[in-house]
Amino acid sequence: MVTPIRAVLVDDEPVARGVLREELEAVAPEIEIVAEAENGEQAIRHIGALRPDLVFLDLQMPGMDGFEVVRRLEGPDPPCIVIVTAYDQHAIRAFDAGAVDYLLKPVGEDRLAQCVARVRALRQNALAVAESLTRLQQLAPDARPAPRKIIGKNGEAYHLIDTQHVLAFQAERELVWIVTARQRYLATQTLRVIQERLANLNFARVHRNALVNLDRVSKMAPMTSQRWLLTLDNGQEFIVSKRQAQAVQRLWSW
Amino acid sequence: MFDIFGDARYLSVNILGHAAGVLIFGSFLILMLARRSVQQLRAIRLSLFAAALALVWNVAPLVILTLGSTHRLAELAISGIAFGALSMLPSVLLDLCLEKRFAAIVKTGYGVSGLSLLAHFIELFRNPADFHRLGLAIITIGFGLLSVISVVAVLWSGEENPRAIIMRILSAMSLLLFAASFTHFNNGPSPSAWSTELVVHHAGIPLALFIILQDYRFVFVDAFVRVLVNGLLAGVFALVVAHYLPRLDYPARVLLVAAALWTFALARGVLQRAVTRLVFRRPETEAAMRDLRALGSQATDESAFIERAAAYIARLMQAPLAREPVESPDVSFPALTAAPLQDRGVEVIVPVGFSKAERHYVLLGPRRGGRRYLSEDLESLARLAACVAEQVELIRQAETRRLVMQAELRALQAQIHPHFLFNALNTLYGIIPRQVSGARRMLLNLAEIFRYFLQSEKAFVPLEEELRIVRAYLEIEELRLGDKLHVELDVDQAALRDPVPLLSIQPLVENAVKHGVAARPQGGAIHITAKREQGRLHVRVRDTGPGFETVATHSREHAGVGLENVSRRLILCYGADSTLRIESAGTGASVSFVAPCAAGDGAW
Repeated sequence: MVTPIRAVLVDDEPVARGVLREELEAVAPEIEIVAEAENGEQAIRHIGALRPDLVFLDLQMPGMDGFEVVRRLEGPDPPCIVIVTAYDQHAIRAFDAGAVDYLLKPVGEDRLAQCVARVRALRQNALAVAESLTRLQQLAPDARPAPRKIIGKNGEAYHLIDTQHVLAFQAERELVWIVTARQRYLATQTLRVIQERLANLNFARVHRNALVNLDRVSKMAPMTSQRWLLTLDNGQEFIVSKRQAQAVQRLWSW
Repeated sequence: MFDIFGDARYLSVNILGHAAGVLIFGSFLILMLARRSVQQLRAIRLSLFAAALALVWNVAPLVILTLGSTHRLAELAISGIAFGALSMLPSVLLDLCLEKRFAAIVKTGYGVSGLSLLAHFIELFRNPADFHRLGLAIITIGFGLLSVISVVAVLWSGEENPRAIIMRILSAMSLLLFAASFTHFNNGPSPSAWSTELVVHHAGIPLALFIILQDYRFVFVDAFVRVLVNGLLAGVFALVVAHYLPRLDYPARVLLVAAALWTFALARGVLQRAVTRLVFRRPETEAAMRDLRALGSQATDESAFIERAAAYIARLMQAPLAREPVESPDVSFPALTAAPLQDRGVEVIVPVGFSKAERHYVLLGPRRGGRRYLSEDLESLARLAACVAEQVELIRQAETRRLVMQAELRALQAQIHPHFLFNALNTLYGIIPRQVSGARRMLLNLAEIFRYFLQSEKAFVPLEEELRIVRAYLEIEELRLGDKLHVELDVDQAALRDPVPLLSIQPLVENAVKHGVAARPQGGAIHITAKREQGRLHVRVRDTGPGFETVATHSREHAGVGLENVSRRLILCYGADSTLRIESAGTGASVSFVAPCAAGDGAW
């Protein structure tokens, strides 16, 4: 018994969705199409509500396009994304590195079967799915600033967390915690790697064990002559050295 | 009119004859010596030797006549030297004629000359007339025999072109023997006999000219004739002036000299032009260059222009174009060819140097009527070649502009159409019922081909990728042509990852389908092979069609725009020696190219 794969089709052209549905039924009957979306907003809603395993996503759509849909995805158990496009040579090259797969319209059945096989294999590894999505989000086909999402694990599920919701990264022996206002997630990378990845964002290494979102620092006050107390807006406190506090201050006062 | 010829007219003619002989052989020697390196001189040493002997032969009587009969011994010595030269001349000529064949005959010739020389030497001390006759008899009989032996030997040895050699030997030797035997029947060296003897000596002049100039490809014969004409003209004027000068008073003398100089200058110009036109029938280089420029300005295609220009030059030189493959002859100036090429009908190589050290060669065959390529012909060929190169440069500039414009247009089209095109194809795909799988498949192939055509950022692709498109294309054509099209693919599995220029094979296949199969009611077959040989990828597309109209390997005139484009890109990718090779047999056309496997490594 093959586990069914729940899929959402996103394309503004009804015929294009029809072709894909028809071919999927022929080559991969275990795929259950739970919804079809004809624009970006619908896609975000469906994906948020139905949490599908797989999304076939057209890139060219009026209004919110496929790129924007990818950028806005977050939350637990992110889906596999398969890009479907008529013609986007430059984007396609970028997708070689990021997407689970990309399909060129018109899609032949052989090619589609090959794609489904790849999805099936990738679904065995939830972390790889989440990572491929974060890579996909980095791809900026135009001037839009790339959103920084980070993967965090909560129980068995992987979540995609927007960095603006992150208060701090805290290292605790071998583990690195991602601290948000609501809960903690286990990070999949070391503090050093995370710091490198977020170098362009407003994060500062205030301590050997802590990387703090400066946007979420509410208070900073001297404790002793050498130590300062740094308070985040959820009330969490970090004791930092005077030197680091001054560095934070410099970053703060720009 | 000329009193100078009065009493001693007979003698004067001989003086003139010998003077002319001295002039001829003197300037001949000078011309040969002037423009050559030591190495080249070594190569023509026999010709030099012959010319020197002929010069001595002509100088000696003049010296004797100058000395008069007062110095008997000197006269004897000098006539001995003169006859020594005459004795040596036939053996040198025979050596020249035989061109390193039959060393035994040549050695015998020198032996006979030695005997004759000995006879002339003895003549100085013993009974002169007897030994004089003996020496001449030795030459006449000896070389008569040697000539016959040489002819027989040439015939016997199965020479490729015996006629030419035999004609040369016979004409040279009979002329010489005529001259020699005439002196033989003479009564020996007496002052009175000199005059008749001298007339006969002039037979030696055309003889030497004939041998050395004609048969030894003496390229300076034109310059030589000019020197001669100028010398003779100056001589005539000098005679006239010398004749009238003493009779005139001083102002009239000045006038005469001035008039003579002025008419000489005038006459010289006229004579030179007449010689150019009549003797050499040389076309005017300037006019030819104008014609070539006109050809160039009309031409749009580089190779077509080169073909036409080469044909024009050949017509101008009244010689056929040769089409022998040349293995990069190292010539930078039009040059006469050497043995192996010459035997294949190539007389002259005219290099046409383009920019980037690229070189094309126009090969000319023998000229009509047995005329020679002379130094001035080579010079005007060089100017014409430079003119062709200049026009090619202009055509290339125009082509570059055209290609850039084409590329811009293509880019513009690519910006407008692809999304529309592929979405439309996708819609069409959706409308076609799934059951009509052939139609859907055709559409997929079509989309794949279009997508491949539109990718322009890659210069090289792996062979297998290009072949995928070839298969997609052929599937479409198979649907269209049905049984008419048979395809055979023979591809080295090891070569699948080898790089080939993007769209280097598909256009060849398309061309083969178009001309070799679709255009024929009975259809045809296409064989595609891609093989690795000695580290290079050999790609060949053959068809069973009617073949190309011309067999010319480099002619792309009939090959169409598609093939020309591929050929151009191959040259851009791999260099000038990697053009498309187009062959045409009775049973079909074959288009192939060779790609160095390593050239594009890491290119994508």
